[in-house]
Amino acid sequence: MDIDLKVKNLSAYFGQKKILDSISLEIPSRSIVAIIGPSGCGKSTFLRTINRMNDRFDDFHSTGSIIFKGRDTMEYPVEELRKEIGMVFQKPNPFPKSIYENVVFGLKIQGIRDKKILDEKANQSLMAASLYEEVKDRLSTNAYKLSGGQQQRLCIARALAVSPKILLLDEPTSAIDPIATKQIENVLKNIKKDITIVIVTHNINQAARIADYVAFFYMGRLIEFGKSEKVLNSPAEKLTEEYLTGTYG
Amino acid sequence: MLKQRMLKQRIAFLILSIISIGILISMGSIFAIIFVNGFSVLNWNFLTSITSFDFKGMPHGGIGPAIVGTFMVTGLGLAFAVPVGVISGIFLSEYKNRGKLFNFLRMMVANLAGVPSVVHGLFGLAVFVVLFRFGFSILSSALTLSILALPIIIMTTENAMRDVPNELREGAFALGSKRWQSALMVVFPVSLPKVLTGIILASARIAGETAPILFTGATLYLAHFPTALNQQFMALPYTIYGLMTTSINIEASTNFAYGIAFVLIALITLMNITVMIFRSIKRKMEV
Repeated sequence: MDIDLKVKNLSAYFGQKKILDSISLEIPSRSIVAIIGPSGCGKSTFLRTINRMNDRFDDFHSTGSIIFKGRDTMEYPVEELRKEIGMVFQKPNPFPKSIYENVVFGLKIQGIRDKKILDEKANQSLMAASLYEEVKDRLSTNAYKLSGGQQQRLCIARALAVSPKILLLDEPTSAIDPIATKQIENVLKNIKKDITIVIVTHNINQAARIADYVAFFYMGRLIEFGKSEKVLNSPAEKLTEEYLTGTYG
Repeated sequence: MLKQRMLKQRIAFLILSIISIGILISMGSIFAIIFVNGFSVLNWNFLTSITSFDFKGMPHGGIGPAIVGTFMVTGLGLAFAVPVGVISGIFLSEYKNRGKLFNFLRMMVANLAGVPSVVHGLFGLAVFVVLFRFGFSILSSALTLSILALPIIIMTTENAMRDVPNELREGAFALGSKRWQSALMVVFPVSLPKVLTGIILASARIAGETAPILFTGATLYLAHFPTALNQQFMALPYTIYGLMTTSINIEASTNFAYGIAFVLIALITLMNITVMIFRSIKRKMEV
């Protein structure tokens, strides 16, 4: 089994406050890894540490290492790293540009101007995000005209267009209705043949529906990590079981 | 109880109405007085020809050179101030948006905005007229006005950029954007309508200024249109001042001055309308 990300003894802090406490975990290639846990357990911070999104904050720092393609993520130029490790956010955040411009944005900032390449990539990514059929006749309309679920799939297409190896999703369906959620889950199941997916979710049923592996976080620590049937159906740890059965959460 | 609350509500509403109506009336009367007094002198000749005075000190002809002069210093002043101001605003919002240096820079910009315009005039005289040897000229005045416009443009640009939600920046960063790419390709286009509003406010402000051009290039009377940047020039606000203070026949000059005030206000209103149209077009394109 190939490993895409090796997290070793990762701790993360905002100021003096420890948010993540020596997390170690290996994320297998071309699988869906769901990170579950109660609010404030550090799952979003963990996700945002992988693509170094928290570097933006002055009071953030981390210790330990995340190895991606044999190199520590801190050794990459941050833009290079984020091209390889894409991200989709909780609230759909398309740019106030046309649908087409949204999808090709990541390519354009790399200096790719060839219309043929851009068009081809745009179509591929929209198809992969199952949005192509709905928007193919109005690629030049503003992305804000799309529904919330469509906007989120556009954000997935936008992330896919730069051909990342890993896609991080931070509760991508929490602002979206059940039907749109189902569509996004199907998209994720389809693209995992090419891409490794790490998804933060507060919805255990969602983890059960799509995840191959589940990691349970509690108070900044990784309590349990394993095959999703194992963790969700017969957890080894008492904390995991309590969370799954709704004792707290 | 209910009645008492209704009564309080009524009284509050009444007080607010009186205040609002008071503001409207005072604004309206300013426009009305200028319009009534100025309208009589308005005609095509007034806008395009050169001023002359008869032996009684009565002004004749028009204010063509002053209109052209005002356009030249305002336009040139903006040409200097807009690039510097917009870039500084983007820098303050997207790059140096916290820490000691940022606070210091911000305080300096705010201080600059608070400096009385006559001090700008003296600064312009010392630096542009004397030190840089641009002389008493359109160029010196335009540079002085650009410094006056700068803090307005910097602050409106910075605030407009800051108003753009962080999710959009993160969206760009997550795709591998560099900071300048997110700033220029995502954040700036969103803030553009507000930035433009700031620019128009700044231009309206400098078009109406007298003190900064007083020591740096404006003159009370010219018998020709300005043709080069190293010449002295007439400007609308300074011409009003001149007519009302130095004319031998102030009585006769009053209507002329009102006419100029009318033109000045009309120009500034026109600029504001242009922005409003631009913003509404932009909004329509987005929806």
